[in-house]
Amino acid sequence: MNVIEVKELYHKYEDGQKMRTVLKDINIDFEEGKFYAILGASGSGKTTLLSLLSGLDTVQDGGILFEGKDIKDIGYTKYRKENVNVIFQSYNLINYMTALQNVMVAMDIKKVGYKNKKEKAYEILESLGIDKDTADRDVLKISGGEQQRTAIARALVHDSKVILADEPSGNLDDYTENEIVKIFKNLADQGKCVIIVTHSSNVAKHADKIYEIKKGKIS
Amino acid sequence: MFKRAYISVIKNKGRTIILAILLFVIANLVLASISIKSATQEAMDQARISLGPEITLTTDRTELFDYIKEYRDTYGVKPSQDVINELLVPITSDIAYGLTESDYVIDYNFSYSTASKAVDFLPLNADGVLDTYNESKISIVGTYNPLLLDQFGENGTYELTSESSYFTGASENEIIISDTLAYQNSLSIGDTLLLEDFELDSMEFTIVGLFLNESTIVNVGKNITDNEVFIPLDDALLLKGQDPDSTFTITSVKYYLDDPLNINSFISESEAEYTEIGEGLTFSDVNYDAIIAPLESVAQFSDIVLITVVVAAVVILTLLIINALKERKYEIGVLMSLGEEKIKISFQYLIELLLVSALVFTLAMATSNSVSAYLGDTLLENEISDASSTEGDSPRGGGMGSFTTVALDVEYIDEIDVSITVNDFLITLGIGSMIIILSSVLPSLYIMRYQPKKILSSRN
Repeated sequence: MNVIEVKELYHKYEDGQKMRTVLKDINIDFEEGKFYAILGASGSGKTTLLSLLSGLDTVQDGGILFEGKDIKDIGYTKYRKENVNVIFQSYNLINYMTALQNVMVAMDIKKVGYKNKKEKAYEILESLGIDKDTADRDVLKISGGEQQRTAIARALVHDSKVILADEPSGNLDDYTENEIVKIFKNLADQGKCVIIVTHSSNVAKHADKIYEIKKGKIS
Repeated sequence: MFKRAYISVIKNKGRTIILAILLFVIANLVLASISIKSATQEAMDQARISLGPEITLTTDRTELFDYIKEYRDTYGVKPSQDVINELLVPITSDIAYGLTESDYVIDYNFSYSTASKAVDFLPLNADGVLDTYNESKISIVGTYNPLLLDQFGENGTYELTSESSYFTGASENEIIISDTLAYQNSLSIGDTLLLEDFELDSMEFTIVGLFLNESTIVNVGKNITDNEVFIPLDDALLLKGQDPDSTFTITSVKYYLDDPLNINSFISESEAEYTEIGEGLTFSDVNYDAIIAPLESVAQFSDIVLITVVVAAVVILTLLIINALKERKYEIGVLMSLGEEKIKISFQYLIELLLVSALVFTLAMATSNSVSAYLGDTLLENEISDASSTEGDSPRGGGMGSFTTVALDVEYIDEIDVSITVNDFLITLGIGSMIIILSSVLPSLYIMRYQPKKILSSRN
């Protein structure tokens, strides 16, 4: 079943005095329970596509439908809050908080209904290999791999159907990259739609389906 | 949102401390301004109570003094009495009686100051002996009850001798004169004397009382206090050709009110009812005005401080928050990427400010008492010093068309009890909240303009 449908999507941005088209006539569907990889060189438009899919950027032309409903109509903020979870290459954690607090912030924003949020946050972190001691440390004082795991944990607090990740292993060593990919694969097996933007063919080879963007077009 | 705000306040110590110091200064100044203001108001009320519940309606001589000074500077002489009389707005019996209808008034005393000529006796000169060369001018005060006049009051300098009696409103042809004037003219209680109007109509009066004059006022020219005599109001009116049973004019009325704190309301009510009051007539509140002048200056100063602090606080806090927002732009982007609403992010920052403010305002409660007391006393001391250095210039009215320059014998309130009351604290809390909310408006508009994609991609 399609959870996200992209219809005739075009996107432009200002490049000096010119308008540059970064995405041209994109038409793709994403299903629940599948692990997707979007491959592309730098500047191909893959991160722009992810921004649009995650509701961080506004759709200019064409449409993105979540469960058949245009995300414009859902409202970008509401869509980000209730329907998708995003993991960034640079983790985007709040750096004065601990790993645990970062996870709990997402719980508060996304209004998850756990009885004991703190225990649940520890549990999610633990499932990703972050023990309590590490969870209670400021994120700037833990390793890159632990930060990425924290970012993933934050994406898992809410039971949304879609997880989007932008170069999630870009800053990690091979071992950690494989660990992270396993986590994503596992999430897809649990029924989530996992979409990863990457330039790593090592990551992409684990995907159920690979899309490649070249000069703004999907191939 | 609350938890995030709390974590931010605790974790960002540097920012919190800077904010706390700024808010601490603001809180102390706001609390000091408010407590000083309320302390001065209380001191003004106390001054009002201590001066009693009476207020006197008189002719406003301020403009007349200016005119006389200007005339003297130009022509080298004083203007004629006719010109002076024309400039003085008299109190009509309609106004005088009209004001007695007020709910605040419980008693009153009319008085009419004028001049007359001594017929069968002589006035005194500045040396206190009989003046055989002068126009025999006598200053007359016609009144219902001489003992209710300022001269015979608690702060007055005239005192009736033990064998004296005094007249009341119903009395006729009775007179009270100075002990010295009586002595120099070999007069005593029970004797009669003649006063003559300038129309040459004369009236005979029986001396019923003598007063001892302990005035330290310097006798200047013809204004000799021992030549002041007191007669019943109706006689004074008749002597000057007025009909006491019809409309007449007088020079002052003292009203006794039910409560000293109602004086300001009575003045406002009277000014609203009679346009003449404020335009020619005035409520003479010399002692009260003198006592409260330094307090009013302090109160005004505290108002100015309050307004300045509020405006400066809003501007500084706004800039500080905007600057902090720039530093926290990335954090805002992260929160927005998680689906947080912009308005809630604004609220989070407002809560952070309120959290720091709550702590700081509590601390300020402990320190502001000493700050307020110090500021209040210093300000008051300066104001009293300024007021004392200029008080010698204040003129005080004598008879109709005559005045004597004297120093006001005023006991200034040199200490105010500045202490923070619950009310002061609540007002400060209200003003503090207003400052914080106003300071958050512009930064909130900044947040509304933020786009998560732009913030995060610029960071990445």
